[in-house]
Amino acid sequence: MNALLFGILCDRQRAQTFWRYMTLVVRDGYAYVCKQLQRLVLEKFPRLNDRGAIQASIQQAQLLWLVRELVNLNVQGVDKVCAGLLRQIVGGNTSTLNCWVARSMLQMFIDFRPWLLSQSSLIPLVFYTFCRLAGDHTDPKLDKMRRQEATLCAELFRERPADVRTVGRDGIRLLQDVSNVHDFVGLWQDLLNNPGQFGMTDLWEMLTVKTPPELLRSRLTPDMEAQLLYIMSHVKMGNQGRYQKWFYNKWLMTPEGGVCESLLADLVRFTCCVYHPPNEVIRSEVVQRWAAIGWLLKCAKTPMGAAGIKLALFYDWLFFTPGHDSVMNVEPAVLLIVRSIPKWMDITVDLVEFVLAAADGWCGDNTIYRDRCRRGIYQAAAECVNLRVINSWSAVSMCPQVGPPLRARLRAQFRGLCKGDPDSPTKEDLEAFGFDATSPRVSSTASTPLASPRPVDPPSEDASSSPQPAGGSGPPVSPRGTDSPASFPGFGGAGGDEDDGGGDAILLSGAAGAAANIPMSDASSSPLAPGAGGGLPSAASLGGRKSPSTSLVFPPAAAAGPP
Amino acid sequence: AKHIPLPANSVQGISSNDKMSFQRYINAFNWKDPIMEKQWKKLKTISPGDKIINTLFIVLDKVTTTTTKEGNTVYHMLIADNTAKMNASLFDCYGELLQSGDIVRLTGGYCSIYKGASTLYAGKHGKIERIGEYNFPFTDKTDQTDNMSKVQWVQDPTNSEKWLPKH
Repeated sequence: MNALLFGILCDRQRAQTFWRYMTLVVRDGYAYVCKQLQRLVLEKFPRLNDRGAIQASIQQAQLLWLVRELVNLNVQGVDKVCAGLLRQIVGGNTSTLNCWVARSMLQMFIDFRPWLLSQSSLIPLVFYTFCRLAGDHTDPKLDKMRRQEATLCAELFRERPADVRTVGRDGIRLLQDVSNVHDFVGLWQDLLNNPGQFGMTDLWEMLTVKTPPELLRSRLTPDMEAQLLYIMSHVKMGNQGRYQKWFYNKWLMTPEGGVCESLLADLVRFTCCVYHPPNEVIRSEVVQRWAAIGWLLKCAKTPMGAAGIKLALFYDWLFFTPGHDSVMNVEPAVLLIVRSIPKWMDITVDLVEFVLAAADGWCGDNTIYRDRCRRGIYQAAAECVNLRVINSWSAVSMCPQVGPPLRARLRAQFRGLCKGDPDSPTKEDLEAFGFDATSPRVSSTASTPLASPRPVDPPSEDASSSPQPAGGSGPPVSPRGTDSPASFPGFGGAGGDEDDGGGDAILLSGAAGAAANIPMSDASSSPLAPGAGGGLPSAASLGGRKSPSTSLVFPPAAAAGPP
Repeated sequence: AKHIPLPANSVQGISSNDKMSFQRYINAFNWKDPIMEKQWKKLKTISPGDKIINTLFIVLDKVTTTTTKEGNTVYHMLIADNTAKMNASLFDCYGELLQSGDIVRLTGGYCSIYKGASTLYAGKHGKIERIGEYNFPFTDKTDQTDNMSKVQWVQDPTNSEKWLPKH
């Protein structure tokens, strides 16, 4: 069987004959062949070709041909081989070879659509992969491929909504990125305006679903993953310069000398959500996740790319729920902010600006979502303090380089978490930012089921009192008596009774231009945002994708220095 | 010396025992056991005049190229393992095809002094195999205290074949 497989892969002329012999000889339903192919695809696929090759080698072409034949026969186990092949498509790379692999896989899925629709484990992966790749295929020569990708994704979502819903929040992030592409517009609009068609009452349902780590990992090739994990597990801090340079040269550099920025976002998502190192690694001297992410952040050359990375980094914060989400997804961002404080202040300020702007700006005009995002960010920050990732947010709120308006906004958002910070947010500040200044401060850690939470500050009646506890312990009680989600300071109770006035956007004076770029769509499911209706202004981001004047969130006058 | 281009499939198959021994060798600071019936040296233990050197290293940087009188191109590169760094000069196709980050197994190399720096060569009987990429621990001190090629060598007065580091 091995010999026949070798013959099929290497000998183009006689491959048909060998394949016929194989079909005659096989007795285990091709299980062995699939196992071998899976090994080849995961470990050896790039090595079936020369280094720096432009075209697919005979072996690679034959491999894909054989996989097609197996799919035709509906062999059990060939879905894993397909999954492996999808992993080998490099994101952000539009070289001929990579596009050829992508195009062959796409063609195969289109041709064998009934088979694909029956593979419920493969459908989320196919959807995720092609949504992601469609974002890279901006070249007019790849137009036809992009249209096919869009059609395939739309069909998958409509025919198998239950499977595609398991993709979760990163699926929405990808759709947002391509929502300005002509062919995805229909799907995106349907998703926003008519989510019932896809089996959910609200888009938020899909946003609360965490993307399975296999999907996030699938956007890194096995080689890339091995190299990234090597840096984070075997290289001591300080020695990573050369490894980073080689990684950059191999995966991140484009022929024109630019950077594959979409790949940077994938790498950040992988580092945050898939790789959770054990405590020994965290305590050792090895390069930490936050350091690797800091490097990736610095690799980005355009503001749009930087915004994409930052969104990828803080994406889990927006929807953080203490019992459901893991603090390990949130920890790299926190540590990057806090550990950059003495030496790399620009990173700290940049990231803090971004997270606060995202809290308000990511969801456009939808105030319900905005409150939920703010709550998510608060809960993520609270969880970090609770689990002692950092001691307190006062390290950030007290630093001199954080300008006064930003500091006020930070204190308002993280009210109660800045232990050690002598100033607390004033009533005027709270109201200006749209927080409820009158509700008593309640910690949102009531629902933390995790081990050893530190004693929580009891709620104090005076909203602007200093954040020092009276030494009490025990879980705080929500003042409104609602069960869950626990009420948190200043925000409307569950259900969106709005206490803030107007919900207007915040002016961040002195904001670095990059911080204001949040690629985000405009519309929401509620019947507001008239701009969402006709003439979708293409994922109106704040200076991200298109011109800043189309931003729906920040009033044009305030768009301080977007690109 | 002219160099024959490598035949295909020249990477030697190794048993899994040897693979494990190599894995330990790569991380060790001294090594005495033979693997595959050869003695393997760490870069720190190589001095000029050594013949038949077997070692495993990673290419850090390809620095320059020069041409010899016979028309061979020589590629000068910086190599390292976990004990030391040094210069290496590889000829023709070996040098051209190796990129920075490649892990290399050299069997039958030799070391001599080139422009005052000890340099590793593959030689006529030497064999270079690229066995991987990237996942290799190496030392890279910025103060160059681990760079064998920066060491000054003097000939041993008792034995003209041996060199000693100048102290």
